[in-house]
Amino acid sequence: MNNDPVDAADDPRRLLSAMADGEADAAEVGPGCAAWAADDELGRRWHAYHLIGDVLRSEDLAHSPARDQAFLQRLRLRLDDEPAVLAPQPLQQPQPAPVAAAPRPARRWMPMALAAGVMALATVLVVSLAPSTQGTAGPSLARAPDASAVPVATVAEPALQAQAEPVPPGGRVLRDAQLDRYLRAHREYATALPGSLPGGAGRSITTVALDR
Amino acid sequence: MNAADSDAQLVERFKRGDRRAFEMLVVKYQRRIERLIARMVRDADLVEDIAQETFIRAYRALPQFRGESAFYTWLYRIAVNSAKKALADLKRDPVIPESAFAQRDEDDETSRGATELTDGETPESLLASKEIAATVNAAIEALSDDLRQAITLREIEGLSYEEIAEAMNCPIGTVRSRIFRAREAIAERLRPHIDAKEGKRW
Repeated sequence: MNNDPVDAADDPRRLLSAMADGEADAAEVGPGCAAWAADDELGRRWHAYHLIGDVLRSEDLAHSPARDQAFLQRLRLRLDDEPAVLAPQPLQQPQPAPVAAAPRPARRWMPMALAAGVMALATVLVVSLAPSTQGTAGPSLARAPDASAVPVATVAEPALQAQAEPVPPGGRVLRDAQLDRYLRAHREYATALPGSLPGGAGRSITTVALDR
Repeated sequence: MNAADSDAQLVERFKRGDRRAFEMLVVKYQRRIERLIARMVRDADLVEDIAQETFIRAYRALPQFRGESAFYTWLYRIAVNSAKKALADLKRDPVIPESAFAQRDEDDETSRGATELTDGETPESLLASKEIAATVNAAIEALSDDLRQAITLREIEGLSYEEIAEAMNCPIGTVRSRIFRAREAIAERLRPHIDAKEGKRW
């Protein structure tokens, strides 16, 4: 028995043997598939390797290769009619596009932001320069440490209330408005999408029209 | 890498849009899928039709396959469901006689007598199958101990290269080489049977 066939590291049959066991290097799998499809001899080898494994496990899996080949040919014809399938790719780079688009709006709003900053600073100054009697009626958070004589459990509650207090009335309305705008924009985009799916050309035009 | 995810590389490759990777998986599993279906359906043509349907469904669904189970477990499930659906359709609209349905007590494929053929199985094809099985077994016997042990641990025990390397106390590269050489030696002996009916592309 010849136990010493060509065993060069770059022998494509050697790669197919490793691929049959899922033990090829990840980078080799693509070239392996290409070699399998391009070389009929490698196609026979791939079948033979698996046939050998099947027969070792169970002799009734010893099909005639011609039958297996006919099965694949028939399936190929049906696969030709199938639309190309691609797995949905994970969103690996959602940030770059917004970052690239950001500078222009940022520059446009910069004076407004500066003005808002100045206003905020002015407000802080006014508050801190106001008569000190107002300080005791000021933020609840500032009052909490004063109550440190009472048990710990009861200290925590006023602190939580103090934190929660400013949020409910105004905050909730603001967030809903933003959410509404966001949802409205995306709903419009979503309804625009199906119609433009078959051809890529019309899609960007529709989107631009909605965005502006 | 264990036997359960030995298909992960090809599945991943297919998900990137390489149909050839899927076809390679078909070549790997077609025989097992057909045998599984043949346990439920007797008619050989129907078995092949259902096997074809199984792979078409797998082709469509594979992009959503998340790998929670092994690929072959997932594929087997599709095959069983396809066979059940085909049988249900037949019961509603029987164009194939009752004999098409495999009996339950034939679930174990070894229970079929040596002289009993399923529909569509010819004496020639049965002979070819027996020759192939005998050739593989003879080739295995003729291998050196190292090669025989390596391919047996891989194909029958389902060990990974790493596990085989540990069991045989040798580097993984040696395991890879031994398994390849064992397969080549057996494939060479099979060549007369495999090349007998050439002409179609793999």
